[in-house]
Amino acid sequence: MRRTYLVSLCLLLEPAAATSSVAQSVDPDNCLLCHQFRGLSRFDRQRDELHVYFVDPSYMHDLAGPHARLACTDCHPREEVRVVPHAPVSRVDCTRTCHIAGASGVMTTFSHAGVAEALRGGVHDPAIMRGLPLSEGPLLAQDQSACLYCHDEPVFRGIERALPQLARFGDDALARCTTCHKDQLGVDVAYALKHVAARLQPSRSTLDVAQVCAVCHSDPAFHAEPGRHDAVASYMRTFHGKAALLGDESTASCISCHASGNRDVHAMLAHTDPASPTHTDRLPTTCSTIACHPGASPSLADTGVHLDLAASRGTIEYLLAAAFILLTTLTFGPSAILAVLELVQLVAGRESPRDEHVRELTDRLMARPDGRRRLVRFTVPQRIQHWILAGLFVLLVLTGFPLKFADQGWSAWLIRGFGGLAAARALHHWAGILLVLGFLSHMMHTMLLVVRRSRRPGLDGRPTGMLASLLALPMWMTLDDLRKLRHLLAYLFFLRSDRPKFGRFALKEKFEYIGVFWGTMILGVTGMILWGEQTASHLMSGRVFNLAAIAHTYEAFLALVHVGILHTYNVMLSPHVFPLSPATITGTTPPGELIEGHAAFVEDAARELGLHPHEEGGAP
Amino acid sequence: MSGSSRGRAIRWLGALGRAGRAAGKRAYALALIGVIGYSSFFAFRYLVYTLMLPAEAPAQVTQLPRRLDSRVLETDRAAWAGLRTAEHARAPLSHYHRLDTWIQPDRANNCTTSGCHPPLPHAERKEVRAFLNMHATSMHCGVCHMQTNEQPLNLAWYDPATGASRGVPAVLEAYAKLLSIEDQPGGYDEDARRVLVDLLRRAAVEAQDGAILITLADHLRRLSPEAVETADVLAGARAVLPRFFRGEYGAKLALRAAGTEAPILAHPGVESEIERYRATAGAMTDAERKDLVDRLHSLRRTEALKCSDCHADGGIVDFTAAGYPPQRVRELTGTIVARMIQHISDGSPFYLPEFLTAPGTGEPETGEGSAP
Repeated sequence: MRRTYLVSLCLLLEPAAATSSVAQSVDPDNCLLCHQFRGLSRFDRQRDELHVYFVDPSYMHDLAGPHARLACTDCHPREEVRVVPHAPVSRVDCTRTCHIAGASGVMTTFSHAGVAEALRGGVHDPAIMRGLPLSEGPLLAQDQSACLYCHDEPVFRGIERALPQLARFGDDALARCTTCHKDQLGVDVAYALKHVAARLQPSRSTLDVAQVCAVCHSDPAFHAEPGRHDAVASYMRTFHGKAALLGDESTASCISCHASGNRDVHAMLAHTDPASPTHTDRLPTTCSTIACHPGASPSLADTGVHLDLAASRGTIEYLLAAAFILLTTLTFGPSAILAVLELVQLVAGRESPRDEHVRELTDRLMARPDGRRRLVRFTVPQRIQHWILAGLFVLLVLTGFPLKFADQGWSAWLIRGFGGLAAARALHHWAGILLVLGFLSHMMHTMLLVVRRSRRPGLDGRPTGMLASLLALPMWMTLDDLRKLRHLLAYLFFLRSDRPKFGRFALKEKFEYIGVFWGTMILGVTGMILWGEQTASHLMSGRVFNLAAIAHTYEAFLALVHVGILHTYNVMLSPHVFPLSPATITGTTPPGELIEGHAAFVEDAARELGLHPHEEGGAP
Repeated sequence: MSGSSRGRAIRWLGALGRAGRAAGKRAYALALIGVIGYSSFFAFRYLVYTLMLPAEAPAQVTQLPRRLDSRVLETDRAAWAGLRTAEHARAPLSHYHRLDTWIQPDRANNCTTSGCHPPLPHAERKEVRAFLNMHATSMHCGVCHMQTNEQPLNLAWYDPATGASRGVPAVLEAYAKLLSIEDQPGGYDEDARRVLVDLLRRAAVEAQDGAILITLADHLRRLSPEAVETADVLAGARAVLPRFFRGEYGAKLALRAAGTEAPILAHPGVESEIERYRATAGAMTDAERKDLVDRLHSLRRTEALKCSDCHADGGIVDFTAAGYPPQRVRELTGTIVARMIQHISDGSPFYLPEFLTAPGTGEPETGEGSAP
């Protein structure tokens, strides 16, 4: 182990020395004598320009990038910089031919002239770039290389992603290499390893690529031009962009589509060009490449990769989103208002005249074992189902919402906590499956109950029947519930003095139950469509994925706000139950909750047990 | 107290308790109304925004400094979300060479924090302005520009974040320690190891980009002083540390006030005058302005120090006393650097190959830079 540390240190400290016969001397002109100082700079106050002449010496010392073994004079003509202090230097010409040592130490000539050739005729032709309207004026001075629009000093990415095995045992592996390659078979092994590992992966992370493209494509002046839109912003709202924000490298970057099929990224074409991989005719092929969605049908290409709802007014996607917002307004909104109005009663110190009577009955019932049993509102299987649902809900929220709010710091923190986006997604998918299975088992349990009850004799002695048993389930919203709602509103608005009496399940509990019912179905179906996008693409149009994504995200948001705000208030924060109602744990509903929300339930129990108001003691 | 009085008191206290509980319950309910109201509003606003407002790219993507301007100079790097999220943070757009950290801001230097002078103040003489600014990262303006009759200069290190006096930068101390270990057989024992590891870790923090120093510290921490590999790691440390003699030590030199440890970071009694100058300078006559500027710079040297006043044997800065290790002192005052500095300060150009080549070797000199 100790040897490993040492080898690692030697390679870290003197990468060039490890293969001295082939390494180029770092900084042969000794330019770093001055340029290694960060303060070697000046500030032009009139132009508000900072001129930094600093060159990070660690770039060369650590052989941090493909340009690390170049001499400064390979880019800045020697005749211009050999006099100190330097006169203004001319534009760096990246297409000039420089001299570089190959891995075996043989000097060879190299030039980026081919890149310049590839750029010509593409959308990123320097002539086009220099004419772009940008909100803060031209990005580059006329004497700067056009390469700077997209590039700065290139850095090798770490070997961990491309060569994880070597990263783990790399020190020993390199030590073995240098035994021969240091002197006799000259190869700069440390540099070669970095270089090869860097080339086995994208040269930039997905997010870094988006940053590069956003310089122009997210500039307000740029996309204010007719026919343009903020393509990076709309990309960042899709799954691909959000995954990039959360550090996922397997997701599609701008380059994945716009330079698909090993096309030279420098030769990128407009999507209107028939040769472009994003042209309408070629997009299906682009999406279904082996690297992306190999099993997908061409219809997948109809999915909106740059869907911006605000800019899509009148489309079915926009209408669906609007419908969900309306649904949220009409469901969550009234519930929130009711909760606030209930709190207003507390602030006003108001009590219903019947509260004292219900309190007395509750106390007397609670004093008797059979009374306490009668006041249990949730059976043990129901309590177990509730907590399984709660656990899955929390897990789904924690693994799903970071994707919705991917640009927030807490999202990245959470995803890291789950071990990365892939792990979080796997958890999300399986939690979703369990939720759907739980939902189905609840339905089966309910149906079995209905069947059993349908066989029981009714008042007339005949079996109750399926329909009657079904309608007798306690969670149905009935006309009586609507009458009680009207009563409740009158009470909350101070138009009546007494509160309505609810039974075992109050109106808001029925409402929440129905919400879970429809929510699980919507989230389950849309979630499975999105999860199995390749299979689903054979069954439906790509636009269905847009709709599924919209329905999934808005329904999940509705569920979150309802549970996060209102359910949390009802079962934890409400003064009647604070800090937590044990109704779904031990089965005991707190007296305050019974008095306010389940008076009819208490009175029924009292009646069944033969208790009467103002009666001392209890009936045996 | 009679029984009835006690009873009244108990009843009164009971009533007070009930009233308190009722009031507490109402206050809690009121707070809940606020919480539900605010979170509901926030949720609805979010929903409406998603539908009505065009998508905007998040800060992680767009917030890269577009150009090198005063904002970059004055903004802490951590403020740029785009740089934090990038794997290899880009230099400000339009700049090629990597700028992984900015110039360390000096929040204690009154000359710049007053708004009168920029952090890189030298802008006039084209031949020397960048070289002079190079010193702004390691010393206060007053070292060259404030009058003192002491020779050598009485200097103190200060913390640019607080202005408080502090000790010698850890990287200089670590290097001095390494040299002393090398000079002294058996000098690397458990105590020396502990001191060196601590100094290297502090140096890494002060240098902003000292990951390699942390690696060195970790290796030394794991290796016993007797281990055969230790000598190689120490040699590696001796090779690496000079790379950090780049004037960014998390500390700066300033003149020391007579009889104290405190650095002089401002001309005395200028706060109100600075305010006056900034408010009324535009309306002053040249004579009035000159008069006020003279009063604002009560400690100003009539003529600033020249490069060769310090960068020469017997110069007025005692680098050894300031904590610089001997090798670094030789580099700062040695012949090659002194000759280069003489050229620069005279405004006479010199040429790379001849000048920076060590005499008689034909090889480039491998010495480090000249700023302290």
